[in-house]
Amino acid sequence: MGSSKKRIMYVNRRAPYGTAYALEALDVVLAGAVFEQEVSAVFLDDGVYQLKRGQNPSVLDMKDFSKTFGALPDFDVMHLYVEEESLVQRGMTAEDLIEVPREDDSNAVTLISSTDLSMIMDQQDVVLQF
Amino acid sequence: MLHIVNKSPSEKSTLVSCLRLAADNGDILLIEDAVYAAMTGTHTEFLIQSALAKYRIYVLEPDLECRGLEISRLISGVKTVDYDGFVALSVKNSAVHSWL
Repeated sequence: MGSSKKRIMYVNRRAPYGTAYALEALDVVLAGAVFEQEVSAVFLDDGVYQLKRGQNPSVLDMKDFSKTFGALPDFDVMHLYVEEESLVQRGMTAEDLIEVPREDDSNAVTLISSTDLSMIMDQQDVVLQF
Repeated sequence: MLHIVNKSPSEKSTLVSCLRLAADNGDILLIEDAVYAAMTGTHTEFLIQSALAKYRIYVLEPDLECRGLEISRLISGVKTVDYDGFVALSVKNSAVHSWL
């Protein structure tokens, strides 16, 4: 087995709360992070709703896991890519999204075009979709 | 009849099927992930916009709040209901049709 890090991308395509996919995916990302690989998370289609600002699932007695995204940079997940086209299709802008500050205070949540995402996706060793 | 839809229009075709088949003057209630369909600026906004001419369309407010969706950004004409309102709609209508 080679010693080089593998590039792993987690693709989130589902809205939060209606199903358990989003929550389970986040658990997988956190669990996988301990293996010190090069990890990124991508949010597209209804997955962009996972990063919507102002979620309050306590009204449904559910856990607000959007807060857990804030911990991802501590687990070396430095990129939370949001596909711009998916955001626009849902009448949203970057202003609608939560911020996830890295250690240097820059925001790990970044908008990315389909063209650029396609390129980054193609460079991955492993792509897992939820 | 009360029609209930619970999935986002980008995930499932239930909203489209419901709007094709629900009889005029019906009540349509959007709950869970279907509440995203009631927001302005989405690529499926036209579905609800045109349906408002035929139906009364309601959205379950706790499901909006859970997802961080602002009432001020609802498509104009869509009404919010709370759980009591949900019960009232179920009682008012002689039948309930959940689109799955």
